[in-house]
Amino acid sequence: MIRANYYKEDIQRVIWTLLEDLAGDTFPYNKCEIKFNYPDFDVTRRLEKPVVYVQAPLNVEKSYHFGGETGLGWSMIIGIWADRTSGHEPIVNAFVSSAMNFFLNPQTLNQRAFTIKLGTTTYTDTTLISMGVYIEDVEDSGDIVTEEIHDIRKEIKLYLRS
Amino acid sequence: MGLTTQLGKPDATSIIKGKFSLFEYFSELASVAAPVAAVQIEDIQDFGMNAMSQTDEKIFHYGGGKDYRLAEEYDGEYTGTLQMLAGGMGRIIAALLGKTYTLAGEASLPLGHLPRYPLCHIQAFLRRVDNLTHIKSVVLQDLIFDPIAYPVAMGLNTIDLPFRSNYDPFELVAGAEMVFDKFSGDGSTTDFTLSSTPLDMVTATESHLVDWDFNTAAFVKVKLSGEDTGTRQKGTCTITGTTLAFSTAPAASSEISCFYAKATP
Repeated sequence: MIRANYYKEDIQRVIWTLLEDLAGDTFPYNKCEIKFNYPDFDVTRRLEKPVVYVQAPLNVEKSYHFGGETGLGWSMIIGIWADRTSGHEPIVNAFVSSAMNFFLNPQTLNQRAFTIKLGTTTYTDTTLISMGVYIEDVEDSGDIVTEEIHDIRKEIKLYLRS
Repeated sequence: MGLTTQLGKPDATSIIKGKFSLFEYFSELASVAAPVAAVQIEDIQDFGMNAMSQTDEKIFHYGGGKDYRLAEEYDGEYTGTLQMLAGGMGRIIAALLGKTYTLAGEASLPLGHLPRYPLCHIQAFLRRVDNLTHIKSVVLQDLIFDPIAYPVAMGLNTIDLPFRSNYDPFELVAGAEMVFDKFSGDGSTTDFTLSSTPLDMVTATESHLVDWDFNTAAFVKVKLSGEDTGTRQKGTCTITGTTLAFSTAPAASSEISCFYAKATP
């Protein structure tokens, strides 16, 4: 279960671990390198594979009941960056399509088992919902401008609750 | 000591969203079966239910006479609306009427004159965001459908399917679901075996529960041959375990129905 004092990192790590797990056996994730945080410049200049980056969530919503603590709603960006040698637009579009479909299909999403360590605790064969992360929606954030015109970058935005 | 108590944050069962809910109905017109299969409803865009109305009838005389309460009527009705994608409206109406609405069946579907008797009971499963974990259900019984307005709007066209009922809507706890059993009367059989073990639903003797005659069922009805709708039974039968027992056998060609809750395996 994600830890209240480490919301941002734990949510980011859960989503990153889930995508890493998919990269082990599922197209197009297995054609990509899944990065925790935005990639460093040296990575994006030498792309051996399209780079998928999982950014930290931003708090965008709060919910509470009277006399209670505050529940948090988050938005979170997942991006993919490719160049002409690493798959380019087809693989980028395949990733965006596949990720949209994956995050919008609640039953598949919440039954995908993965193993993660948060702090000192290892959770084996856990699921997103078991970790306390509830995906409510996802949207296509579109193309992101790149300095190199032959590069292509796209992002999706998750809306989740924890 | 509530003065300084702080509750936790809303948990995952506190928040209900329609996109994670599933609606299904049990048809009053379905053939005899125990259980009658529930039918999932597609194309729902929104759902709303108004509070049950109550009437308070009083009598008084002119000249400042004191009101005298003649009757307090709790057995009111509630109304509601299923908002659906326009394309799916015909399918659901035809299904509720038990029509084969095809080229090979009946090719037209009159919308102005819907039956003025109950057509179905609806059960809405409200689930967590995984679409798997049941939070609770809302159950609407004996729904009568009102005439439909059929606007042809531009864009995403939705249509309201208005309904009403005279019997309590109710919530159902996580892990329970409704069962609708139907049997045929032959004039001599008094005992009928329910398809599942009924859960205790209410304490029917509580004074405010005017619609409830059984602890373990929302209703038991007997519909005589040739009638449109059944009559709710009160004092004519009992439910013990899975046995629905009548003191007098329901008439030949009658239809016996029982709407109750079971624990989901």
